[in-house]
Amino acid sequence: MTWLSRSVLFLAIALLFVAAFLGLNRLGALSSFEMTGRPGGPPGQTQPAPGGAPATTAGASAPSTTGSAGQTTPGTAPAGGVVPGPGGDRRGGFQWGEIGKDLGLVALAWLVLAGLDWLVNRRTVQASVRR
Amino acid sequence: MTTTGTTAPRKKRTNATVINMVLDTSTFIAFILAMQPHGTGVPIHEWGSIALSVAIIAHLVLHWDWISGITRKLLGRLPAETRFSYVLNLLFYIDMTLIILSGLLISKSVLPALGLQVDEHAGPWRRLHGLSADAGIIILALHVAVHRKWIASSFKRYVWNRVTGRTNSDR
Repeated sequence: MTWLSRSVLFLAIALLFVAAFLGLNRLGALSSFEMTGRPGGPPGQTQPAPGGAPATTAGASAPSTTGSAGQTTPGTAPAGGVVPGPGGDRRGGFQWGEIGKDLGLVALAWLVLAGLDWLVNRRTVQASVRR
Repeated sequence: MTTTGTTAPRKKRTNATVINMVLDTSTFIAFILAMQPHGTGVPIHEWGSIALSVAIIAHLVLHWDWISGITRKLLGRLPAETRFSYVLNLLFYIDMTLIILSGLLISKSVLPALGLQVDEHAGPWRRLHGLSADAGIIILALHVAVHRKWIASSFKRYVWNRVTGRTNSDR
């Protein structure tokens, strides 16, 4: 049962962070993160799709153009169509470029830290040889 | 008695390493996939992220000794690398909490399935979800890089050596 009590402890700590974030939001500290007007309009707003019927929840489920999470920049409704509502559209599919960027970032961090480690070890060895 | 005393802990450690490897690899792949909601679809993205949070708690529980040990020594003398790793892991924990919280608050699949309706898909939580996820991949990259030696040695010992038919005593 030790693992259970430890899990509960980690969950309790997470809930403390949650309370802190909700408190910050209540104080208005997170209001600067409100989506502001950009091409395509803020996500979640009802806006007409170009040349067609009004779109629903535009941007909220449209594919993004930047950001590895796919959510930094809101997308636009498809021409003449309605953006699918909640339920999980899979338009665009996997963004392999974004996956490549994410994995590249991991590889870069790996190489940078390994390089730093190598440099530090080299200097340590050189210093000991001088002595 | 002596034989039992020396082999039992070794077996336990081996199993713990394999469990860690499997869990960490799955968590890493799940995290990368969770960054692709348009590839997986929103329901898989949301339910998968809930499963991911359970895996993260399991990861933390498996590293209880390290976490509790370093927490006790945090105000004392510690190697800079260990302190950096601790702060990074703490940031990762806070960031993951923010990702999951903001994800739940803009949920289209998980909360409705539980009978809770969320109307806010545009507020600050929407943008925070994206920003915290982007920060999460950077922290994940550093987290992986910090533990590169353990990853490389475990992979070599339990995957590469088994595939190539080498025993761990071969050098």
